[in-house]
Amino acid sequence: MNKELQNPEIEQDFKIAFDTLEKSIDANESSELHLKRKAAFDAFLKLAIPHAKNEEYKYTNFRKALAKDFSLQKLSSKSDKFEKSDLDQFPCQTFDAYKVVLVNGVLRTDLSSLPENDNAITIKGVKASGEQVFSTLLDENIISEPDAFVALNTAFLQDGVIVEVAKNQQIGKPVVIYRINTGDFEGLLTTRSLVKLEESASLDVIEFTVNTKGNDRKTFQNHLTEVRVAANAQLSYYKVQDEGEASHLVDNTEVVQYRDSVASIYTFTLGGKLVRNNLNISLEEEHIQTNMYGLYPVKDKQHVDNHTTVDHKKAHCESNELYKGIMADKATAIFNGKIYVRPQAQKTNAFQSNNNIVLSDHATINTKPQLEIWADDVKCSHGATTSSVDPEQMFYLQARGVGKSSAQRILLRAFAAEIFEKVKFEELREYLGKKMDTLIG
Amino acid sequence: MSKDDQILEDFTKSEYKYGFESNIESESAPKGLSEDIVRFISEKKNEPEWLLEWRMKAYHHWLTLEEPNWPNVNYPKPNYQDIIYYSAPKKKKINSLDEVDPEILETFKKLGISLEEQKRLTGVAVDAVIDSVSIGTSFKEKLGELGIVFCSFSEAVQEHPELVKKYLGSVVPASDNYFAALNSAVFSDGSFCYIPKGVRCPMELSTYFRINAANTGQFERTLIIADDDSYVSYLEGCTAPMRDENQLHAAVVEIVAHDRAEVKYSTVQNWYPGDKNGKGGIYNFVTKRGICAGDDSKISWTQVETGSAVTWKYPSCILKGDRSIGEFYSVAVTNNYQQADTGTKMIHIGRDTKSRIVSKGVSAGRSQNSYRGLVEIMPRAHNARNFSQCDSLLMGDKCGAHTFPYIEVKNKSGRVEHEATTSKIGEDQIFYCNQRGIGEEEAVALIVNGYCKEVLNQLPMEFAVEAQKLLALTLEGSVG
Repeated sequence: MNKELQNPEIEQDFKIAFDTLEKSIDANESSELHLKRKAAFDAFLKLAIPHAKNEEYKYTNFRKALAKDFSLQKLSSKSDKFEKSDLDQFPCQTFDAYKVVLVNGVLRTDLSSLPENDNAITIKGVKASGEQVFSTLLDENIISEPDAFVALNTAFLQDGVIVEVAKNQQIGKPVVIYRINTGDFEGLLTTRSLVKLEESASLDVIEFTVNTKGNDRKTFQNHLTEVRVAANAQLSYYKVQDEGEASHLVDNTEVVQYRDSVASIYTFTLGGKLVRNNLNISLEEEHIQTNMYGLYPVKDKQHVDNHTTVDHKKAHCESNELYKGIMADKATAIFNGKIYVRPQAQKTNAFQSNNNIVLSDHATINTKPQLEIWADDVKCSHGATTSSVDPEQMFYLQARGVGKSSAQRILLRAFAAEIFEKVKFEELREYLGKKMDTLIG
Repeated sequence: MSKDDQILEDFTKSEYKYGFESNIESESAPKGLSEDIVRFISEKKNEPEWLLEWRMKAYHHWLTLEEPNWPNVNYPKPNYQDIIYYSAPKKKKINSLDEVDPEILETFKKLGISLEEQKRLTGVAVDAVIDSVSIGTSFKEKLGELGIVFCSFSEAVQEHPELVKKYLGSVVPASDNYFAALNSAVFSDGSFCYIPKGVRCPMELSTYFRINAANTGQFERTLIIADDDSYVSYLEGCTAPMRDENQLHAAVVEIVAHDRAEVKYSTVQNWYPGDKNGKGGIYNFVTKRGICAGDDSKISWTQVETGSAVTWKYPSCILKGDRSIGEFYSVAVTNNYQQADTGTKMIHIGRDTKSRIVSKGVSAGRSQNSYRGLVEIMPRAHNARNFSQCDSLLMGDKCGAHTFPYIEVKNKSGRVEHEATTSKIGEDQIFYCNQRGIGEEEAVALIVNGYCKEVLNQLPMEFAVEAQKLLALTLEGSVG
């Protein structure tokens, strides 16, 4: 199948990187962890980096993107140059929150503020937890179809964070995770995290995927987050991606929900050269509610690809999805939302909406809202719209003395407001609003 | 609910109404596909050298292709060496309807579409195709006075080679896809239509396709050219006899609309869908595409799909001329084990182009019904506008409805709207009807008819009646 892959050197480079990693870890060759990673890498070689003929990656050609002078052989290693004062450049510093700082994929406990001896919530590093925990974490990946980037993540994984909330515990403080790329190296950056809520627990997570200012070199980041929401638990997960202009990012989020749980996943893509988000949600039991919100204001030559899948497996569940995009300059955005409603999932309500505003004749939006339904007693709908800023609305504002650029800004803010108003944290909402103004204004 | 179950039960038991086979001696080519067969067909049709070359090129290209796997359908792949690629009824050269084999006329009578009747009552010119050769063409002279050419494809090759040569493969190239390449290599006959400048075709042009001899794949080729300022409405309808073996139907339809021309193409498709266990039935793999080549031109596709075991069909419009318009109206009904993967492509190239897509799917039994569509706004298609609506209605909990809309917008002035819903017939709607003395079955028929109205309204009148009958028949015992 892979006989005629373009740029076969990509896999070669990954092989070199993998061999380097193998040597550096000094692992027990027969250990379970080692074998799992080896198997994952072999699986990756079979799958290979997807090309444009692969339906799931039709509009995002990673083979082309990664072939251009990438140093894929290199691994992220050093995180020690980053100091506490460097954190100040990132938002939400004043939050009363549990803070988790991952620098170049390595958990820095000295910069983080983690709960200590708390029965309600535990936060720990994957590496520091020992090989057994590490190995078990790899088994958590259960819902995604064979995907090259997931296999790659398993193969190259070095560290990450595990957040667990005990039964019946409502955590008042949010957990803020900073995944910081110092951007002063070229190569691979891989993390994997687990966020697990036991029965009737509740938690808010804010996750920033950011890079330090001024350092902007070609990195390839591959993150995977496993989310488990047990019966009756409630989770809000805010993902803010504000990467540098040369950053390539694949962000996989796999959510499994159980009876009566509520999960809301927000994805804000503000920066990055090429960003691919895979959000897969599996609704395992009845009466589950799922919300997915996304906003992607993009400009220059940015390329943002959002793929979401909601799998309704049982009856009486509800899913809402709203993704909004603003494309300027030569930016490209892709939205693909899949809703599966399995035969047992009667009385499902599933709604999906994707709205886009195109600001330039050189920008592109490719959207594919997809429904696959095998049950009859359901209410499912989707809608997708694309247009420019409404000239009549512009005229209305301009006729009242509002300048052209501020009129456009007002309208775009109004367009995005539907997403912003779902954000619970005032400070985060303000940060996102300001950020959007500077991006598109 | 038990009544619902009863209805569904009756419905799933309903058998294909048009299952009979007329015994007309056919002259067939041996089974299988090879260069010799392509040559045989070309020779039989007394075709010029360039056409044989064109066929050969298509055949060689076909050999390099793989059968597509991306549609959302499952079926045993046909053995292309086990198909008879040419079969013709023996009697030929008929000047008037009286000379037509009485058995054929009988067949049409059974279908309720007797040639005489249609000729007398409706004024529709019928180019009846049984299997692969055109056997009766009516109203030809009347059309001839206006300069309209409406004839079988093989006749067109003989009499209007310059037109055929110019337009054949111009919209659907021989290399377009697996089935189009196959069709290009072995197409046996079909219809050809040319409307000259400024002529408004006074009647609906119509063709009935019908698969007849056992083991015959049918490879029709239709070419419609509407010159500047012309108008034509073209109707195509099909029914096929009951058969146990899967039959392949890989047709190609090409439409060219020049400046200010308008073409309306309507289809009622009712090939044999297989029995209630999913055995048999037609594979309907059709490539239909029209190009709005001239400014202010319009192409409108309307289809009512009730038959075939497997349908793979995407009537498309290439909107090349400025201010051109493309429309697609579709009702697809699947029952038992039928599978349909159908939709459209609207490619906006010219400025101020508009397109509208209305797709209504009804799935029942254990069938799978998919809408797959593409709306593409090219960078130079300023002010392009699209509206798409695709709704699905599910009857029973063992069927599936799927939507795969692709939307690609490459400039800022394009406005694209897409919406889709999936639901079942509301219990409150049925209750409302029941309350007013309308029986359950009638109520369901009423609701389904209302649901499809937007599309059925687009059909020419005489077709609309037939289509409504067909919907009722397909969903018989349950939905009217």
